[in-house]
Amino acid sequence: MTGTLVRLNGVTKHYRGVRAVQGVDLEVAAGERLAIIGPNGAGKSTLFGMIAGEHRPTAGRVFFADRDVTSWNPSRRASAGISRTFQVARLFDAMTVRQNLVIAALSAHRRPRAWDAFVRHRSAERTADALLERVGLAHVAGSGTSTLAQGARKSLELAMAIAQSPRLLLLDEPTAGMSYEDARSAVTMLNQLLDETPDLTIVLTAHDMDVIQRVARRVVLMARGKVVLDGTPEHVAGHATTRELYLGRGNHD
Amino acid sequence: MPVSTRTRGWQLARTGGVHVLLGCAALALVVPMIATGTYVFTWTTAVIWALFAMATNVLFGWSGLLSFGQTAFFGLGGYTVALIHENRGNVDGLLLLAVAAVVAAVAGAAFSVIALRSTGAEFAVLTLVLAQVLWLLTNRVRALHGEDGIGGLYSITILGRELASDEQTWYTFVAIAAVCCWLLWMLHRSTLGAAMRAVRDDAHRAAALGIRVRRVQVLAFAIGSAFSAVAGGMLGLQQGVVSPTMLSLTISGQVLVACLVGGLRVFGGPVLGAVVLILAQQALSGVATDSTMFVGILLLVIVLVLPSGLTSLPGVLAAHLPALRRRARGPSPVTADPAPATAPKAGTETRS
Repeated sequence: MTGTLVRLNGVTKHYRGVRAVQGVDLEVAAGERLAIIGPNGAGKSTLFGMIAGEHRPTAGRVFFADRDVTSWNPSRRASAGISRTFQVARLFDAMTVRQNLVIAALSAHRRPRAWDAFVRHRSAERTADALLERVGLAHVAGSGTSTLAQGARKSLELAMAIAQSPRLLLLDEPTAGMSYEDARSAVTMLNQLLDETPDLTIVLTAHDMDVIQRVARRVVLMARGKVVLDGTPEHVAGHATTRELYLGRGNHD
Repeated sequence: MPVSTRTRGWQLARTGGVHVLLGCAALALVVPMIATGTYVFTWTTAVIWALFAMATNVLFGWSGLLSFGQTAFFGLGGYTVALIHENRGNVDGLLLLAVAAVVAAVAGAAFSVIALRSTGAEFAVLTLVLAQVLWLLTNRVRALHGEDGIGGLYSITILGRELASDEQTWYTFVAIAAVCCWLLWMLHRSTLGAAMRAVRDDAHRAAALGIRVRRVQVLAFAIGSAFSAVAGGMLGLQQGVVSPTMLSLTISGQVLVACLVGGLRVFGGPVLGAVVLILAQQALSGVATDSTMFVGILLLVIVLVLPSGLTSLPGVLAAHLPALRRRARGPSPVTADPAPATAPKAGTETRS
């Protein structure tokens, strides 16, 4: 095992008096697949945002690969190897499907430069084409992204995140808004992609226990801004606290 | 992978912008045939405006930065050229334009580093303020000769040849504009150009890909300012005088309108918009005393009918013609294929 990739030290976030996250300590080992669950308002998204760099903690430090990245902005963290997807897929709708992937692959390798116009980015294009095949979007490579169905948009976004060749992949509700069948095939595809990149560390948020048990090896349950449970999916799913928190709330919030 | 090789995906370094240069060459040759006398002068003005609009569109259309202050750099270019000419005398025109570009690039970068701390409307207002401050300065600073401006920009040589006639000026300026447009084309297809579009569409998303949003915006601002200054310098050299009018609000508005009329999302859109704008102004000025109003109505109609600009016309026609033709043929029995309700979006980015 290769040590800790992400370390949160007493991370706290307050929004105008609302304590979204309160003193969370968390370590994620390299290659781990961690799911963060919890009822609405538990602080999952805020915690997520503090790892990705969109939120700056009110107190505490965030470490990535043994470097203190607390003050780094999202683009710097992305260059350091943190890539993410969004709850509602965010794509560049003025570009084609393939262009979306190429720009993701390009940004992983180099800074944008004006004189790049004279170079052909074969490696980025190869990465893009290979991923298009893998996620089953090769047949729409030249179309605009606005024509894609919700599930396909999510797949493209996942492919973009992987095209960045990250060390840490943050998946925010990877199956949100999908039908049951779509969600199942999305998880199958996700698992296949993950099997091909065993070193990749995953942190995801999800509501669907089925998704969590099929993807994650470790689950952290949050409530009211704090970590209340931490263990294997079976342990957390079967625990009385989990049932208490989710009871009567259904699967969705 | 036969599919992906055939897609029109990324087009980096596939065409070297030859069509941009060929288009400019065609324009250069055709105009003297159809336009005579003073019209060549007007066309030259239109080409200068085309370059100015292209430069403005680097910010407006490519990067999503609404700047009302591009006249600041247009004027800066003009005044830089005029001041050097006034003080140093016989300096080659190309060198004057190059100096103007560098000065404006540095000034643009410095200004945008500060102005980009705010976004959206606030940013637009800051650019407006910049243009107004410079406009005031040109009016008040004695060395700049106030309202009269700096004149005497005559007997300019470019590469050792004097611009003796309107036609010579035409060919020379089209050539300069062509080189500038080609450079802009190469920028458009570079990773920096792609990053600009990504930042325009969703700055947050772009940052999550590792694109440094602020840096891309500052570069866009510097580049847009540099080319605006080249256009401003060219206008000074053509008119023989630079004056505070170059920095007026009217000009700020007109160049944005030129971009809108031509089409923001198509590479050559601003060129078309600028040419239509200048020629319409010229044509209508002979018809009525308040020609501005008619020009305004014309542009309004264009923008209302074609919201994505004149360059979207072929796409709109392609989408609607089949339906119109069917209607003209009369009610046909059970038309199974529904006509596309909307025109294809003018998002065909990399093609002009």
